[in-house]
Amino acid sequence: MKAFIYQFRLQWVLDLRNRGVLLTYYIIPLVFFAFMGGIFTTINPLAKETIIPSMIVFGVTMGAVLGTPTQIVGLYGSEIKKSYLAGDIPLWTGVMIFCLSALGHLFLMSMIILMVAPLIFNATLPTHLPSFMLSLILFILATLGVGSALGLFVKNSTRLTMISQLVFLPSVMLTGIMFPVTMLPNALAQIGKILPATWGFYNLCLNTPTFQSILPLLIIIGVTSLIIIDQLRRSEIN
Amino acid sequence: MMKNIIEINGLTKSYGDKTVLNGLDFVVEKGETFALLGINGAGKTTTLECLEGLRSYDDGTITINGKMGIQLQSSTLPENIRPWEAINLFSKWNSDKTSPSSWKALGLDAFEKKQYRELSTGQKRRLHLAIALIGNPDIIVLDEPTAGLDVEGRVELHEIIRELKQQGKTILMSSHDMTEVEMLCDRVAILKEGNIEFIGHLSELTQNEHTSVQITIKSQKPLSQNNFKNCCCLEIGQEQARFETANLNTGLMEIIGAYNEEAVTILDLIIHKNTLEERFMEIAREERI
Repeated sequence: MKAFIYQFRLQWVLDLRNRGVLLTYYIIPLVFFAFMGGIFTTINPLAKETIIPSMIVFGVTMGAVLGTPTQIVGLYGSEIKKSYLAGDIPLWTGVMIFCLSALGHLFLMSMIILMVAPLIFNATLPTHLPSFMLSLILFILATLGVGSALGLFVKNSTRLTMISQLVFLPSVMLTGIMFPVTMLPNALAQIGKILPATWGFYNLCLNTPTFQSILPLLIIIGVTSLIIIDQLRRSEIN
Repeated sequence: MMKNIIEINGLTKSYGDKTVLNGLDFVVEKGETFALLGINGAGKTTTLECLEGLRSYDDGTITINGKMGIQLQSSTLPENIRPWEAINLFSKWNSDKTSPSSWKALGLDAFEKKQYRELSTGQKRRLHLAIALIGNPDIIVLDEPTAGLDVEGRVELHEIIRELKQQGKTILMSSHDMTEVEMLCDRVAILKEGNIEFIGHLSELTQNEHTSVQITIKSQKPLSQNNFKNCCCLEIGQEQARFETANLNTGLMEIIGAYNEEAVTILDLIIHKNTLEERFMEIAREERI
């Protein structure tokens, strides 16, 4: 356990030294929030109701789908994996530590949006904060599950860049964070329902999420966990 | 009596239709430095990776009687990690309390503030060796430890390996550098196409019945005789002659006797034994039956 805690602390330090991590987890989401938040709330005053959930969903999706898989490929698609195996560091710790540290970073980024949005855009705060936090954590975990499965499955940074976009772009366009899902053709709206961003946004907008509303997120977490475990098993030995 | 610290029996590994290891059998004795030699693709790294548990194998058994530390041929670490952070990370997972003094012995203190991407190849090798030594292993596996190093780096690493040997560590290494093998190793195994072509002490390899010795003699005038019983005359020129013999004693006596008989004064005499590299190349080039 001491070793795991040290590895987690070390990962935070390494993340803070990593420009790519800072860009995808903090800088781009927050700059996007500053620009788009201003535009959305100016052209549509009703956007103040949903600006916090929509910007959080964008930031979390960006970090978890574009940032975390890159880190995972950096370990599992490289000789670092062999170094870990040779040095008796269990392989599962890599993905677990990346996810835990990403959870921390993305939660922190979300909190910045939550605190700043009411001040600069007069955004509406969630009425029930504990429910909001629970939905947020479940949404981050589900998105990290998708990102981790991608990182373990693809193992090649060039292919990963393309495949990640296939998840990221629909997550932005088909989930209601940019414009209402009702404006989309039914087929595209149905595709959006398989993405965690749809359910993350839906639950973050609810006053009190129900078991039924968070069930899709729990299913995504369960399915991606199974994929991750299977991929890790395959990674152990060639 | 020495105890076998590593025993490999019938190790077989294929990639698709291609058999990379064809039933290897060998043992490594406690305290010895053992080298796996072979041209690229001979199966050295696959053998070591099977031994290290990094690669599955199709058949055979591997028995390891001790803790093993591993330095891989192509290992890397996160590019922004510092050497002491890497040492701490691997130490924690191996429940080993590393001391700064052991870092100094490997010269890590000289670059402890740098990040991994800023280290030279030699510094990276030393760091990976330090990681391999975490937990005080009985066996140290080094896969081409000096590949890519400059002369200074090689000499430093050879010193470290000698010190480890003096401490009683068993070292199993692979290498392309025959000079390094001659300097450091007790026994070698030569792999060719997944089979062991030779296994034994270095002296057996360079001085067996197949090994010839070349004798070059410089003289005042050429020798007229060129037919010998115990040696073969390769070349007789105006100023020097070259001979080859399987037995240095009898061959040399016969040649000197011939010079004496013809009253030709010998000016210089050079004996050239087959080096490990030459013997290795002979084995590597031999056709398998």
